[in-house]
Amino acid sequence: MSYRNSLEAKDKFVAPNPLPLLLFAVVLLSILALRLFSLQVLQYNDLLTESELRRFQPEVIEAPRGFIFDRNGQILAENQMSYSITIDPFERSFIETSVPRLASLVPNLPELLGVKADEMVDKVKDLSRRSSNPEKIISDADFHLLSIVEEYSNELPGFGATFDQLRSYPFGPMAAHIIGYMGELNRDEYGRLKGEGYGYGHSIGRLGIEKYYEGELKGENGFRYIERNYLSRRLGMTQEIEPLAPIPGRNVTLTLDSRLQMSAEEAFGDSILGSLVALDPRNGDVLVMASMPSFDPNEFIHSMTHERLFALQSDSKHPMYNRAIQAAYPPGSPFKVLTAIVGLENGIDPDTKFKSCHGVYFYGRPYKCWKEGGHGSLDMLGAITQSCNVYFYQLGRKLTIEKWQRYGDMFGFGKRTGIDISGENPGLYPTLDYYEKHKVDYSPGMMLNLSIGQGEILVTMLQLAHYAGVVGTAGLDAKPHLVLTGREEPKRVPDIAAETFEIVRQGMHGVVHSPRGTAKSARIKGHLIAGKTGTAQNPHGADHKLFMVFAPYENPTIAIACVAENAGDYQFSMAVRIVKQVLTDYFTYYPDNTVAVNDPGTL
Amino acid sequence: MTRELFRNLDYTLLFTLLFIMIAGIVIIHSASTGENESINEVWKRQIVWATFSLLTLLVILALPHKIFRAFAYILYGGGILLLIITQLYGTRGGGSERWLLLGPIRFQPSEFMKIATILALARYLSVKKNMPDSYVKCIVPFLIVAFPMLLVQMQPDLGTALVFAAISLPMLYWAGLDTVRLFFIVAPVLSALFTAPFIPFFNPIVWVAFMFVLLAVLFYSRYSFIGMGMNLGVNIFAGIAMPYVFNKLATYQQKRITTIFNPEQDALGSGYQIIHSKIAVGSGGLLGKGLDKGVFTDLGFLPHAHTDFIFSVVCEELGFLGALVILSAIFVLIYRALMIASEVKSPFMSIASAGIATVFAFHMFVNVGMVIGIMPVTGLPLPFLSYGGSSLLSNTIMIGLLLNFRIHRHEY
Repeated sequence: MSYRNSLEAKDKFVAPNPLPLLLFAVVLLSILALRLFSLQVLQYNDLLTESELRRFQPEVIEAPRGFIFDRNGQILAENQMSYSITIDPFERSFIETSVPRLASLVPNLPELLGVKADEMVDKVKDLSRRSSNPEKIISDADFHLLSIVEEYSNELPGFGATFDQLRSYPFGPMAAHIIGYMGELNRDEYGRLKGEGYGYGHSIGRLGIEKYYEGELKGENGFRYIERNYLSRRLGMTQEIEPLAPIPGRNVTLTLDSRLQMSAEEAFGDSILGSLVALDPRNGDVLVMASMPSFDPNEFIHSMTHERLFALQSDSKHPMYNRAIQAAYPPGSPFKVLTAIVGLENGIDPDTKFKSCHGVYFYGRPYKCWKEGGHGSLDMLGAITQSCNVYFYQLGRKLTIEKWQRYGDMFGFGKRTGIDISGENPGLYPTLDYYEKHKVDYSPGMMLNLSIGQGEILVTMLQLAHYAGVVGTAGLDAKPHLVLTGREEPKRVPDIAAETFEIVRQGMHGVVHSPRGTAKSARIKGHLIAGKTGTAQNPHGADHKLFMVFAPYENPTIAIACVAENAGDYQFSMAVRIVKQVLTDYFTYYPDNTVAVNDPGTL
Repeated sequence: MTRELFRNLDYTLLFTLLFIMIAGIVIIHSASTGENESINEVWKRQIVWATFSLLTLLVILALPHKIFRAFAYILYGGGILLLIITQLYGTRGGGSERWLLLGPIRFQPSEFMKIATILALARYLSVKKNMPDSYVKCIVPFLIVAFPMLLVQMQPDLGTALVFAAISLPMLYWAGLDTVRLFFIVAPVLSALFTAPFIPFFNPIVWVAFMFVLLAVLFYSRYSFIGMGMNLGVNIFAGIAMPYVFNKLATYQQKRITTIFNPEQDALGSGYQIIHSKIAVGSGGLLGKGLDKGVFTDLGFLPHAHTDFIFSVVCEELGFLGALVILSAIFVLIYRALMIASEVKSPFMSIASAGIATVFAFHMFVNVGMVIGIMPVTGLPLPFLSYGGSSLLSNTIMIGLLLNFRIHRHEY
């Protein structure tokens, strides 16, 4: 191929028409222009919004959580400011110098960071790698530390301070099961709830009122917008998007009376396990709900460690367990009142005296009365007052389970009361269906045990207090609740004659005020009260002691049920002693509800 | 000589070149002086490269026009050698060996290989007996582009490799290949694209429809039965082989190709650039946010904003109208190249000009198409706007060639 060759071609070569190629270029240009038009003109608004969203990131302003008050306005749960020292990951390169500088200003820095002095730099570096946001390195910082970080900020690049609202429970362990506590969201919960106003590291109510009324207490978070660059580095707050102010959570006022709650918990003392529920039978207000032992919810807010949580959960005394609603016990003698009601409603004459009690009753096998030697011949009033098993064995035999079983529902046994905290145990009120379902052959002998509150039957103290209230008010059925606004119009227990209630009420009055009553030690000078003691058999140890009362006798304004676990060996009924303490304080704090009586002992 | 030079200078082309160059520096300045401090100085380097490129342009204007034809094959051979050296001793940049170090300067041989290939192909086709009036005569031209194409693809740089394929067709057409043959050469490529599993709307049904068109053209061509059968066979083979070959591609290439059509699928990986680029472009609106106010690119949300994705900065900051101005300027370059191709008397200069026009058109369409999400992410720079010395220099040299050809348009 030579240069000269092209000269031969020169005459022949005619460039083709450039128009097709030009048109092709125009088509390409048009495709680009149309697409640009579509993006920049037609989709402009969408894509602009999209670009702002990537540039401005919303940052949650947590709404202040609602307070929890008792019925008298005492603060049970509040919020406190807590300051934390943070490290900015974008200033990581200064950590080497700024940490020793801070250590020279704050001698106990290693302690605050929880490491040895020579590990501080590494610890802070590790923490700074967690995210692109300033990371907390010291929580609950005191004002001294805070002021040092602020004052020497020039020499401490990367260090900063933030504040959070921390939940605080001024009464500590008092009513901890009812008030509840807060806990940080775990990974699953965060995934589930992040669309509903919860951010990473936010807390949620974990127990009791804090949990049940989470929606009311929480409020609605606000937002401010932070401008960020491509590395997610914060460039600061923007004024371009209006921040949204948070809506504070609503306060919740409980029906609890912290004075009575305190007196109940003090009456239990440090060694006795058990629970006490006191409520107003006229409206269902729960005045006291104590479960002992308790725990300090503040621990969960500040310093909860895995070890400590494990210790709490595996403690043999189960401090986290709300014995008032989660634990169900065989009620024992307080159930004789129900057996009596069923008898009266089924035509048994209260004056009827069954076979006299000699301490034991034979029906296929011997069934014991609690009193050795027996009570002799008793009518119904006497049988309730003296709690004679033999009388109720015979009454139960006459009634049969078919008649007895339909009264459980009326008085609220075997089902949840629907109180406004979770974890309630429905208890157990056996019926023929129940025996069939659990493949237990029902025999008439079982009715003998049921009629004195033993056997399969299980009740919670909340159910028992409610039941005492229904009996005391002669049939007023008010749904128990813990929040004042939760009051509902009380119903009436259907189809039970006023006379029936009157007889059992008198029987319960006798328990305290009759010379032969089993709870004479519960008498309080100047007041008429009615109650029923009980012993719940405990296969695992000493029996549990129970006591239920309503007072004042004529016009009850309080009903109480109490269990003292493993208290069967005490000389006096521990449950009676605890209830008496609460009642005494109640009469002091609520003098209007007192009916003065000159000589209650002889009545 | 000098007077002739000034009289025959294509001032439209020259001033368009200067306009785009200055616009490029301004936009690179805006794109690089943001949050990402490591690239804050690149606009200064671009000025140095632009100055050097313009000096080179003057040298090319002064050179006798015959020298380009004379040295075409030598340049081509030297280019192939450089590509092989790059392959053996090159520096990595962006995951592939594309750079050659010349002292302090990093240099991209594939950019200059484009020019060498255009010149060599133009020289070959300008010889009368090589006029591509049959399929057989297309074989040597295809080999001329195939060597550099394969070497560049080995780097691997798919985008630049495709440039070589793209320049061959218009140059063959310009050298005399008839449209029917051109159609049958392109047809297998279309067949392959229609059955490609990664392109929406294209599917075997479209391909079957295309086969009917092919049959109609075959009928019109009055080819022998053997010729018709071979054409048909090649197209059927291409259509069937495409899905098979796609599955054999490197994963990163598959990903690059698939994510363009559904970038959200891989929003943090290969779709990231496309999504952010589209957002940056769209948020510019009709008039743009103003120079240096392109927050989206300034805050660094868009990687490669000063190089491959420079056009999204144009779109965000200067808006739809600004983007149209830049596109129009590039179009003027293409238009002038085609006009020069039909003006010059020398077949060599004419065919080479057509090749240069193709390079600019291909770069414009593939790069801008990538930025606005209708073409795959191939890493092809936008001429005169993307930051990069080799690209700027080689593009300026091509404009210099066009200017030189125009001056000597009456000569052979």
